[in-house]
Amino acid sequence: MLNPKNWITLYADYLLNFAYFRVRNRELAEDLIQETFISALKSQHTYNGTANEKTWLTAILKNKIIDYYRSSLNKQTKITDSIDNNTNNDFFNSETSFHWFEKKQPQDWNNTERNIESAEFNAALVNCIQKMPVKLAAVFSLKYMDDEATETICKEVGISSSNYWVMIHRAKLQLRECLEKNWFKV
Amino acid sequence: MSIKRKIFITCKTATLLTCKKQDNALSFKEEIQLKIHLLICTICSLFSKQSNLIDEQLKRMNAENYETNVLQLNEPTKIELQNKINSELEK
Repeated sequence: MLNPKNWITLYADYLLNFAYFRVRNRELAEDLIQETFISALKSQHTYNGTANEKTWLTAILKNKIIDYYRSSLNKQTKITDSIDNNTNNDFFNSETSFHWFEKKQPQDWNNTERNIESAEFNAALVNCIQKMPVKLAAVFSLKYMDDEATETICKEVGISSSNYWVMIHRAKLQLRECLEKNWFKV
Repeated sequence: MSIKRKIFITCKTATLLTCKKQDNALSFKEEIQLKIHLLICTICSLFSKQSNLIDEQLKRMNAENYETNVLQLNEPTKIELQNKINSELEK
């Protein structure tokens, strides 16, 4: 049984955090949860009771987030290219057959005494994810937060699998570097 | 030269393949190419190790629902939203 009279009290904060973490903009997150509640009301008849109310609402929100990702990925196709061609942002030197630029090389993390399972590390990780460019963050959060299969993600947001791997690659390089700068180097 | 190119890949390619490997998305050929590259390149080996570490930690954080309870919707917005729902229900 759905009980819309309790939705806000029970789920608004949960859904707000779910959305905020994925779109990184509070105003947008609030809009998305409002749309979610309205869509949910309109499609109450499709609720068949197999999922609980929270899961059902979260699924509706997730579809809204994917719509947002799809439109932001398609809107700025040229920006993807510039992400990859931006030499300031590049990790590999095209003039030395794509070896690492010296200052971009990963450093050994073993000689720090910092604990990767600590709350502080998680906070640094979250912080670095929040700093990712929107397009990379879209693909990254579908893969890592929602644990979706590559094929599903490509279909949902309308990109090719090679484009997908270029973005995951770029996101991972940036995330690793950000962690090293913010966490491991004291 | 062409055989050399088939066996040896660049660091750029090797790090891309490392990301794909974590998803079990490598072909047999890519698997071999990456293995050889990691044997001879300590920097990419380091990247691969750290990348795995990050993936494991992300999985752990997901299992703990780390994204919840950071933000709260403010009261006036909650009331406004609930009113919207109520009026929709009365239609």
